[in-house]
Formats: sequence, C-alpha cells, structure tokens
Amino acid sequence: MKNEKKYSYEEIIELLRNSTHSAPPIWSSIEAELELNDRLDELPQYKAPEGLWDSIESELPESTPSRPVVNTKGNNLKLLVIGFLIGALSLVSVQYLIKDNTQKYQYKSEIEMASLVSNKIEMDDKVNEVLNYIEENSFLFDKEQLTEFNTQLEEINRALEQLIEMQEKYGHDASSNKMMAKIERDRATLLKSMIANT
Amino acid sequence: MTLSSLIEQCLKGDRVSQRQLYDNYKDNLYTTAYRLMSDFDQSSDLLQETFIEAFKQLANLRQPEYFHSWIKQILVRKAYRLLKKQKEDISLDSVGELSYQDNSDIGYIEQAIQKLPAKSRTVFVMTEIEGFSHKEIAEVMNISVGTSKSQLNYAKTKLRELLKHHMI
Repeated sequence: MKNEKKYSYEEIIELLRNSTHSAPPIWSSIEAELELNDRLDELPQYKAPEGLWDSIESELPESTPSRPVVNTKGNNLKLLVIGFLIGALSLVSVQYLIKDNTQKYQYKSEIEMASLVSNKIEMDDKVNEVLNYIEENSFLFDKEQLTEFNTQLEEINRALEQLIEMQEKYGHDASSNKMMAKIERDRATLLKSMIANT
Repeated sequence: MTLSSLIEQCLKGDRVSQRQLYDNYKDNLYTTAYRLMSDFDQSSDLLQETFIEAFKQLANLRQPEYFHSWIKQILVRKAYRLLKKQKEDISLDSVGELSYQDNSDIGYIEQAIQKLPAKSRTVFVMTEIEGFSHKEIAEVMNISVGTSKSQLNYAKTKLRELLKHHMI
C-alpha cells in the first residue's frame, strides 16, 4: 500500500464504506431490455383450441403406476427424516398424556438440548473451516469428486435444515437429538473423506 | 422528487424516472457487485440484471423507503448464485489470479477481499460494509445465522492475516 500507512480494522471498514467505483455506461442496454419487456407484455394471449387435450391424450402411452423412488443415499436420508417426523409426532402426543413424568423429562431434555446446541455451534464452525479450506484449494481435488462431494453435502444440509425446522416446531426429544447427532456424524465423515483424499 | 414519487413514476413506466432511479443507485450497487464478483465485466452484467429485475418486481416493494436494501438483496442473491456456479467451473489456471491491479490503499484492500472464498466474502461485504444483519444475509444466501456469523469470523481472521503488514 502507499506510504506504508497502517490502518486499524475499523479504519479499513470506514475506507471501504466511503469509497465507490463508477458504474460503466450501461443504461442504454437496460433501457433496450425494458423496451423489449414492455413490448412482450403487450403481446396478445391466445386460448388453446377446444379438444386439443383429447388429441394429446390419444398420443400418450397408457398411464402406468408410479415407480418407487430410486434408493440413493440422499433418499435414504429423506426417508429417515420422514420416518422420524411420524415417530416424533406420535411422541409429542404421548408426552401430553404422561402427566407425572412430564417435568422430569423436560428438564433432562433441556440439559441435552443446551449441550447439543453448543456442540452444534462448534461443529458448524469446524465445518465452515473445512469448507473454506476445500474452496481455497479446490485445485487439489478431482472435478468429479468435488461435484459429488457438493451434491452429498447439499443433501445432508437439507436433511439437517428440515430436522431443525421440525425441532423448532415440535421441540427437542431424545430421538430427534439422536437423529441430529447421526446427521452431524455423516457430515463429519463426508468432510474427513474429502480431506483424506488430498 | 421524493423516493416514493420517483418509484410511483417508475411503476407507470416513465423512462425518465427509471433513468433517475438508476443514476441514483448505480455506483453504490456497482461497487458492491465488484466486491462480490472481483471482476468488472461480471459486475457490469450483474448491475444490469439487477436493475432489470428490480423494475420488473418494483410493484412488490411495499415500502419505497426500503428500496436501497431491497435492490441490494436482489443483487446479492444473483451474485451469490453466480459465484456458486462459478465455483463448480473453477480451473487450476484461474486460482490465485486477480482481475485488477490497483496500487491505491483501497485497491490493495479490495484485492485482499477478493482472496476470500465466495461465501465468506459475500457475508463479509454484506454485513461489515453494507450493514445487513446476519438474519437478513442468512435468508438471502439460504444459510443459517450461525453459518453467517462463523463465515464472518473466518473472513475477518483471513483479512487480518492478508493485511497484517498494513494493520495496526
């Protein structure tokens, strides 16, 4: 940097906030597209002719019953979460019936939840460290391997998000905590295997 | 003309008002686009797409006074989608390259920001510079608030490392 001036972090942020780059002259392109969109909006809408569906249907193959979902790891996870949701809903209704033990159960559950939340935050930080490492060093990985990894990670993250949503709606219990731990273990295994391949 | 009246005229399709609205925000949005994309050409395309979408969706803006943060959310969403897609296409040759060399202090700092991975760069730019909350940026990027916070921590640590010879 010029003059070897040293900045504090706050000064750097202030410098960034107060500086801008001049936009290139692109208004004419924007205007052209707006004009086109206006013309497209003015295009007339036509109704499909009557009886067309009958002609289409006559060309279609005979309808067959839907095939079962292909068994992939992602679908296994989804099935697990769905199965768990059904189980958890039953558990929630049973909890309301067991009056004597409710308080003790809730207290134990709160302790488990607090420790799980703090473990989860630590886990998320670790996961992000690893993901950032992979992103910065993506040239170390095979392209196909990276794509496969991203797909699997997305599926795991989606399952995790669904579980968190469910816990927010219905509360935490032993089986949802177990499920959370399993998904976190799957995630950790995936990340370890990726790093081990470098 | 107030922002509300300007937006009202834009909704009527008044080209002069649309141009005015564009001129009022273009530099600020272009700067944000550049800090996210690290490339002037891509930033230019992103700016264009953002404004076109904004004009299409303008009727959905319930409170005109929030126009700036609303259009910025459109920009970040588009930028992040592009960055995620580019991550899949990244090649060995392009790693470590910078698209622009600038010897000014701000240029140097921006080059350091460009070295951050896409996710942490986006969180850093949008929270520290643009003033978005973690909740807002988490919604736009479809990540958790926790992830947003940890990405910011990572970005700050990395930047301190990159700028260590120029920081107090």
